[in-house]
Amino acid sequence: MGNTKTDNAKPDNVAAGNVTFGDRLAEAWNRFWFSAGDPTVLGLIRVSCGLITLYTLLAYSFSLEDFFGENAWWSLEDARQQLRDKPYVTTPLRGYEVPPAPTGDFQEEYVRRYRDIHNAPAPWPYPSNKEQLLFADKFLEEHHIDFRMFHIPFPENEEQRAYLHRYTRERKQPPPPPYPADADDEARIDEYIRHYEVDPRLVYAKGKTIWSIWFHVTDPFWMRVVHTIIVMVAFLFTIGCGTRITSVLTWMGSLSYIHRAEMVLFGVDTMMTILLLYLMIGPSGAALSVDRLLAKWWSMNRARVIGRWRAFWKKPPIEIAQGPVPSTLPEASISANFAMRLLQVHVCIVYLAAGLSKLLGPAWWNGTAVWGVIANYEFAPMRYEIYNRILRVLGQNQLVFAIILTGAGYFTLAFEIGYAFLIWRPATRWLILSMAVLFHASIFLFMGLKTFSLMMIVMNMAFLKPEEARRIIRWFADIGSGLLRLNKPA
Amino acid sequence: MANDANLGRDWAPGNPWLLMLIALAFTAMGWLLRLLQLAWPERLILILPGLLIGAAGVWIGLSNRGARASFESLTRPMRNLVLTCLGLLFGAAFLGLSACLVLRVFGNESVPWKPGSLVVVWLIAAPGSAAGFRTAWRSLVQGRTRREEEAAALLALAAVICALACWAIEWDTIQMLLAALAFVALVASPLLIVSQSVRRAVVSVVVILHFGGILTAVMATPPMPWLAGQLWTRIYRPYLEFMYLVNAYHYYSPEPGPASFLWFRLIYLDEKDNKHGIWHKVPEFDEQDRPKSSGLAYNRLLALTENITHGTPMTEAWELVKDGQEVKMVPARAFQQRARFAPNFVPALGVPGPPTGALRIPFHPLVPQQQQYIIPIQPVKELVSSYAKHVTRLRHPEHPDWRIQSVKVYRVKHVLAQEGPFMKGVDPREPYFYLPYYYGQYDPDGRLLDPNSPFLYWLVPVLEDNRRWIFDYARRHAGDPRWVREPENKEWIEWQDDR
Repeated sequence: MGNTKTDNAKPDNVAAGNVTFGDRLAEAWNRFWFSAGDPTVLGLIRVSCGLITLYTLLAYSFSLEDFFGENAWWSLEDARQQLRDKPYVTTPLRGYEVPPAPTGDFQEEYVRRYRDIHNAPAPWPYPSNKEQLLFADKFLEEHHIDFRMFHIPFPENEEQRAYLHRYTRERKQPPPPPYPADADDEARIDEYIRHYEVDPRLVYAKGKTIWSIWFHVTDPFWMRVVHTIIVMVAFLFTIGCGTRITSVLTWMGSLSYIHRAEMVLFGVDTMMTILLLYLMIGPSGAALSVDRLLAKWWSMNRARVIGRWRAFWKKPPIEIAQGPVPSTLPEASISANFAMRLLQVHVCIVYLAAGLSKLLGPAWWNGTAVWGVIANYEFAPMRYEIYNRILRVLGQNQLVFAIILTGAGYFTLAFEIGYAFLIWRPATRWLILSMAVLFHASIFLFMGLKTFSLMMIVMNMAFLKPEEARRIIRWFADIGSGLLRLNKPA
Repeated sequence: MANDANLGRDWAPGNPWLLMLIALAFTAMGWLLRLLQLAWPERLILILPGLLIGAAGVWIGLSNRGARASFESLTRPMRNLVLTCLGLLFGAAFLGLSACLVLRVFGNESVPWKPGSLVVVWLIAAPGSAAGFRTAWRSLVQGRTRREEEAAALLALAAVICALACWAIEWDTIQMLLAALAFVALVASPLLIVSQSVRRAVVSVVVILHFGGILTAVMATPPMPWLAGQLWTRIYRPYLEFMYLVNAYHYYSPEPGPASFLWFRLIYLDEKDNKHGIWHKVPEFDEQDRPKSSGLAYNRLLALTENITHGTPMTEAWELVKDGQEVKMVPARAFQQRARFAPNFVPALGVPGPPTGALRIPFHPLVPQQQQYIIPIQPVKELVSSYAKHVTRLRHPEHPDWRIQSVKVYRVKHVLAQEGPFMKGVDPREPYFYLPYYYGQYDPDGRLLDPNSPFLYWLVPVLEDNRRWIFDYARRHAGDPRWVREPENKEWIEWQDDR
């Protein structure tokens, strides 16, 4: 079904030596995205990301109603209004507008005269008769602006004329088409403008494409129930139970919190969303999971279980073949490699964007940016006097301090910008991964962004090889069993 | 001997079709109840388990490797019926999407989606559907049924279940989610029966479009190219918002900036309608200047304050006004209004001074005047109003029976101590490092009560004089009598007169 190991034999034309650039590109693309991959790293990422996700969800328990309730920081009423009405404005695709051709002698004459007088193309719609021409001129004289700025047609009755004048007087620009159908329509437009400072007739689209269970469940009791269920699902996902389903549910649950409370989000939520998306796509439960244990158990016990099931329903017994025993190592699959590649490419984009955007700021060039980080009272550990003392001691030598600050700034730029290019090369992969650990450990210590730093380190695991991941797991297992031995009574 | 091929007959929980039929029944019942306008939200008891059971059915059905299709146990006419339904579904999907795209491109507004998004949807779904239709037709003609066709049928049924659940539920945003899941199942279904090369081609297109969206989000922040703005608004915005992939990853860019606080002065009325004010600060610090909330909660509160920092500084301190036939350059209106309430203001002839007894607050002597007036963008104004509504629900800690009258909101920037002064021992917590901007007074419904206040959106400074006395005009403005700090013991004391 396309998920199993693939036959990596070269295509016929490649084997025959008739290789074009397109063939090579296609082969490289296939090899990059559609080779079979070991899901061990994916499993390790699942466990790590799952633990952090669990922590963030549990942390919400203490401020559920403050962040997601009806009277939250972003109230439900305001959130739903944005959901429905938030304006998105854009400019015409063509970049400029092509005026329509005039129809009839009157309009042709008008267009010609307008150009002669004003040295500019006449705004449209063009007047069809003298009455309309006079109206346009009089409007321009009174308001110093042409009412056809957004190409609203000439008014056909007194109501529309009054509306034109009223709108232009209040807002210093004419209205876009169409004219309001009635007073209610006009009130609705005015209310939208008052709220969003843009005319709804000028917007390209309205409303946000977001969703959340918290837009609908607002009763405190049921909020706790739903929250508890989501935490339990996240736990099952972390341990890899029913992963194909719990991964999707965890992603949905996590996004429910994110979409409802956008103003309390920061980096960890962004990275968590990325990880959960790709863990949902790939077989993240194929390794280091309860699913694997269950599969092993099932293969050895299914005959017995099915036999008992049939006996319960009073069906005649049948002989059931033992199922395939899962191998010691998780089975490689294309989807595992595919999910890892998605994550790898995305991580590269994150670092590259972060690094390149910093080049917009002079502080990163002149080496003072890192001071803005380590001396930020709310993030740095400045409430600990020892930290301030260390800074002051270092600062006593301007040369040393400048080397540290400037070096740290350029290290940040070099790491973030170089990541996307050097992480793929075997010779520099471990250098970049080590820099990543150092970089995020610094963020952990000096900026207080602990969960974000941990999440970024988890994302960097995407570049581990499966045997490296197994070595890390064995290392943790050895530490764990060592601790157990220490605690065992003699 | 029974093996995987017919295990479904011997072991009902392992039969994906049984699970799918149960799921279909549950969601169909939920949909029927919706049609009859009955049992909401009780019908969630049908819809949610139906969706879960359907998900389990898909999982079991797609993960039974090496098994023969249970379709093979069906009669030939039944197999043909299933294949025909699959083929028709895929063909209808292709034709339907193509028709929608053509209609929309030619300006037909009856199609609810925007052309940009529709092009992307067509690119993702149409080629696979067309290839799936062709493969299903070929299988029908050849009379074969592979596991792949069974898997495709499972996914197609999952799409139907999601669609039924979408119609059964009354929560509009969850309807959107279920509709998206149905779409994903419908797009994935034909990919299971087409050839590997077609499948990989479609997946490759999806990957390219996905990362195109990610890159668009990266570039669609100022200074953004026009193209990125168009791509974001016309094509990618619904997808990126839906998936929360809207971040541009411009961390600490262009430069690390100072943190912000929110200071709320809550004004309560007692039984005799006397006013009592208390401060509520977000995030809150204790007497040792440690944050009262820890870890993640603290970071989230800082994010809360960070979201209301976006504003437009007063671009010019001067503006051109027409005076009859003349055009004159005069101080900007906002500045004129504010300047009337500064100490030592001497009104020009004919210009009214401030009312007697009005609060006089100086400009900050060190911050450029244009940066002392920052008008929040409209979304920020809405957020501040929402924040005000939220905090006015807080009861007075000692007198919970007092009712809330209003709240004054200050957005406070905590500027960093410069390297030099810090090295000389200056404490970064000194009050003059805080720059409070007044964001208005709000009632419990979030309505701005003083839109004409001369201090609205202005910096209300915290100043230190040459004797190290601190004068916190934000406290003064908020009505806090303890707005002056003496230098020796750093206590805030009541102060009657202006300095």
